[in-house]
Amino acid sequence: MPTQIEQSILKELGIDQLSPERQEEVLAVMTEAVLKRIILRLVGAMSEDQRKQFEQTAGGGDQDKISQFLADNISNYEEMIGEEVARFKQDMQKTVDTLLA
Amino acid sequence: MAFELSKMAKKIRDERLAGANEKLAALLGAGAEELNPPHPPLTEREEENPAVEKFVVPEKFEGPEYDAVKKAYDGINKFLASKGIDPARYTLHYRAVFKTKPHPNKPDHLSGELEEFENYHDYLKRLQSLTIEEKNQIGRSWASQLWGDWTSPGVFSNISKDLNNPDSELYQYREEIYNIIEAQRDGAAEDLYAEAVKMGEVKEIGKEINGTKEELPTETDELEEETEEAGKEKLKEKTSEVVAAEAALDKAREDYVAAIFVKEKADKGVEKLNSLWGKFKDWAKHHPLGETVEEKALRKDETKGGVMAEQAEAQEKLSAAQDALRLALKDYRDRQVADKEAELGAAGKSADQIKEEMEKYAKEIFLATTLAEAGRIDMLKSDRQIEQMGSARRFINESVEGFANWYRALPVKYKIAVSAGLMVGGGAFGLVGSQAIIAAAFAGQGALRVLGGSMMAAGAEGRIKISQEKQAEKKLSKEFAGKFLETLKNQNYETDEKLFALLRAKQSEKTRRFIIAGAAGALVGTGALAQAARNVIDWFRAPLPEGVKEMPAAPDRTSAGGVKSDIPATPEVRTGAGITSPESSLQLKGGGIKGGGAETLPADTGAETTIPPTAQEAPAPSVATTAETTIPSTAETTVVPPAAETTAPPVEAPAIGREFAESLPIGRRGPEGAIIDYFKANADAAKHFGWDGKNDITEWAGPKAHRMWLEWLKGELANSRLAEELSKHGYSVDADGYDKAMRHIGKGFVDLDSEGRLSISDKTSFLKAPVEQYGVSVAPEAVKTGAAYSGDILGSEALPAEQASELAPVAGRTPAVPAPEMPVQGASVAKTLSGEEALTSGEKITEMTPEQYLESLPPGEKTVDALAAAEVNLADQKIKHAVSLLVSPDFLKDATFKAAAKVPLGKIMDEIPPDVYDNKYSLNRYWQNISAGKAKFIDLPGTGFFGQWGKDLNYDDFRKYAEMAKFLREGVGEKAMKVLRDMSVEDFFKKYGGGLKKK
Repeated sequence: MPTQIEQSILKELGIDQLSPERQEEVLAVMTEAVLKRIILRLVGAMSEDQRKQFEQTAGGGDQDKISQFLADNISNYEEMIGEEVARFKQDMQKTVDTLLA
Repeated sequence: MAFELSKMAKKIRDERLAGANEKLAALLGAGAEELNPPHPPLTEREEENPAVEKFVVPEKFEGPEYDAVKKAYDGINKFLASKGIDPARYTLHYRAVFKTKPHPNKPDHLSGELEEFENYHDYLKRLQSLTIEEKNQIGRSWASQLWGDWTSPGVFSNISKDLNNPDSELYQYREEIYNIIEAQRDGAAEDLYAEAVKMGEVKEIGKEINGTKEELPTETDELEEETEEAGKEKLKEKTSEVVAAEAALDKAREDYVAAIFVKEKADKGVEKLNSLWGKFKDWAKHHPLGETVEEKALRKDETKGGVMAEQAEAQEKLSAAQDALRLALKDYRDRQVADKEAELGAAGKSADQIKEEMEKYAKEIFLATTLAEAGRIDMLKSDRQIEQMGSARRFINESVEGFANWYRALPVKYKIAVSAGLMVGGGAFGLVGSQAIIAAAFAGQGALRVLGGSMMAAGAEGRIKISQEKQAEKKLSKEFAGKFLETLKNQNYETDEKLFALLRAKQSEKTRRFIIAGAAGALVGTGALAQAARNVIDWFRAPLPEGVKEMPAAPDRTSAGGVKSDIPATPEVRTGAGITSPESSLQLKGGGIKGGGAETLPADTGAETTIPPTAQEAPAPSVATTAETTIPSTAETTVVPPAAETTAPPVEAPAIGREFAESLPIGRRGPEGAIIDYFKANADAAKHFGWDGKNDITEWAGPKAHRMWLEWLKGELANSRLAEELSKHGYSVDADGYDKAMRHIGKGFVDLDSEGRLSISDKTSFLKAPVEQYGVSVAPEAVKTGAAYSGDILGSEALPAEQASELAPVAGRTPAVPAPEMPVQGASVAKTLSGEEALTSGEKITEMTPEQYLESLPPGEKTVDALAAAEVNLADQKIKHAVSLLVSPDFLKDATFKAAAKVPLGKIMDEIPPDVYDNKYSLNRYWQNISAGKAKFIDLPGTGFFGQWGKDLNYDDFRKYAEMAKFLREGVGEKAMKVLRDMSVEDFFKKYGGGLKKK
């Protein structure tokens, strides 16, 4: 069950009756899609050597070290994530327009 | 992710056999070669194994309605299903080239015809029908634009990511699956579908139901029983139809994405030719060899022709794939709706209940499938990019797969939190932020579990229950009460902006969390409002995550013509010959900004009453063009506009703080030099950008221009292709290297607007009145032209004859038109005169109303039909005249706009709203808003490349479309356009202007 706030907003939007299955389906697709983009962008920004080092770091499973590696090796990586999300939203907009055309 | 599995299968098989053979050889003393003879060619093995041909599937089981069943009986899918794994998670394609022909452009290369099959049965059937010539093509290596080098035939699937992932449940079956794949690729595996048909496992689709109906018993009980059975059968059939529709949708999606990539590649080819960089590269390569101008022209024509043809073909295929995808999606929705209806009927619900539930279901299915499909397309695009990541593929796939598995298992509320954290920058709002999620995704399952735990502790849900936050909720709920829906329905940017302005304004933590919870709610509830699909995405795009630079807010939507009152005027620039230059907005000198500010056209009088100063009236230029500010050869401008102090209409307001946009020619000192010159020549503009008006402007302009330029370069240098080109030509990949390269190119314009936004443009334009000028200097001409054509060339002529007779123009209301028998003089006029002068000549053309034309006909031909025909004929003549008068012949030669050739005129009008060209600032502003996600994407083909906003469309393309839309609306007229909507640009100019590439 959504929280009261979520529920009230969903109701305000007129979408509270959408089935949870559909909500989850759409949300999962969106989330996976955007995550895939971000990972692709970050790994794509690394050199071959950096990527190998990063794989080793990631293999250790230490989130802090991973974050530190990204911060040290990819300039403005936080912005990069933001940009990729923004691009995703824009591309989604365009694709939806295409599908509804 | 698709991957050619056969190679991997062979490697594993060879390794396994080699190991086994070594052991056997040691035992038997035999050589490994004898025990493991070379793998026989596929064709030979087919002949060795005729068993696969023993049973021929009857034709009635070969129709497309059996595609889903065939897929289910594919050996790979059967195996997966037997292990409890859903085969639908994976794509599967058998691809082969059996037919070849010489490559059209490379005589020593072959071009292949790709054949693709979605199931083993169809693939095997094709293998068994190969001719000797076709069999000879087996084993040939090919290079694909989409998936690189491969050997035909090949099996492609995204299953490889799991087969190679030790954490995947599939990993344990890796060898078995690879063996099946290899056997099926070689046509050596059993045809399970044929076997199922043979054994009667596959029911004949359609016959069952029909048969039931034919044999309905008469007894009531039996009737009910049979009806129920029939219902079940029907339901069963529908379900299989949904499966088939899903498979068709998968296929259509893959085709669409493949077409997008082919198109992008083709676009890149064109972009290379047309870009400043392309020109520079070309110059660097051929200039040292002493190529003559004629040789260069010939070579460029040849290259261009091939590249443009490829692009046109790619565009056609993309359009077809797009249409197919839409149809497949529609069919998929329809099937689901039909199934639901059948399900409700089978459940014994009343007609009213079914109607009510179906209404709700239809809305839901429409929106959910649209959004999910858009997301799947996006994922597929990423998959294809990941395929090209070489050795990084496995790492990326593992990271994504690990996250996906973890995410799918989360309870809904945490899914919302993760999604919001990832997509809306949750870190600042008390949610887990995107960086933490990304780090966890890379770190794997352990870190993801920790992340899940922290979410429970830090989730928005618990915190929002705090009483203080409830107060914030109450306050905000009150403020936005009743506006959420309005926002979705009407794209109410004001509400949208207001909501997220609160976020940006660093509101208290509790307020932020409330808003983010709302955003999360919006994310989840992606809609029961069918018509609001686009708006849901608008909602999505409202808040940019932290760290992303905010772009200026979307402009107020002002109707065309309503904004002229505050447009700073720009004096018209004339060439020595008097031709109105498309580059007339060039403001090296004072113009509308220097000398006390911009002149403003009175709102009520508009452009008709304000005539810009002419070259004859104006004083000499106040600032001479410096030697370094070379006017590019592409620009027609040869005379620098004079300062307007003495001739400009009364000044209403200073330029400082007002909106403006300028196109500055790039000279030998590069874009930065152009900006410096602009500031030095335009004190008010300099003040607008921060000059205090006291210190030496030269000292201020240099550093300021440099900072602006560096800011813009950040984005440019992030483009890996650009960096590559810089390096290749010996320039450093930094601001200095870029600047030096630009100076060598010495072409193009840097567009600067009052917000400090820069764009580099080649400034090509096809209208004699470019859109940047419509609000000012060309407006009088446009209005006058409109008077000549009444802004509506067709008038009532497009109506059927009977209506046309009723609405026949009356004297004084009928637009004056050139007589049809007169040669259209616009073309010659346009070449020698300015727009206004051409208009004057146009007015002198013999005028004739339709009635006059009718009057001129012999008595026997004066009929209502003749009048209607005459009106249409006259309308055609008017359009031709408008084209000749307003459209530059250069456009007809402009191959860069070839991308628009197949676009229907109506599509251009639909995509380009009038506010794009409201005034000279609108174009750049609208373009910037697209990139900021605050204006709708323009869905028109262009010449750009992936990575630019809008992908296909670049700024110059956008400008041309805007000009075209402006021309169609105001030059041709709305009524005429109703008739011409479906006509393509190419056909339009063939009919009215002599063809796109007329020389």
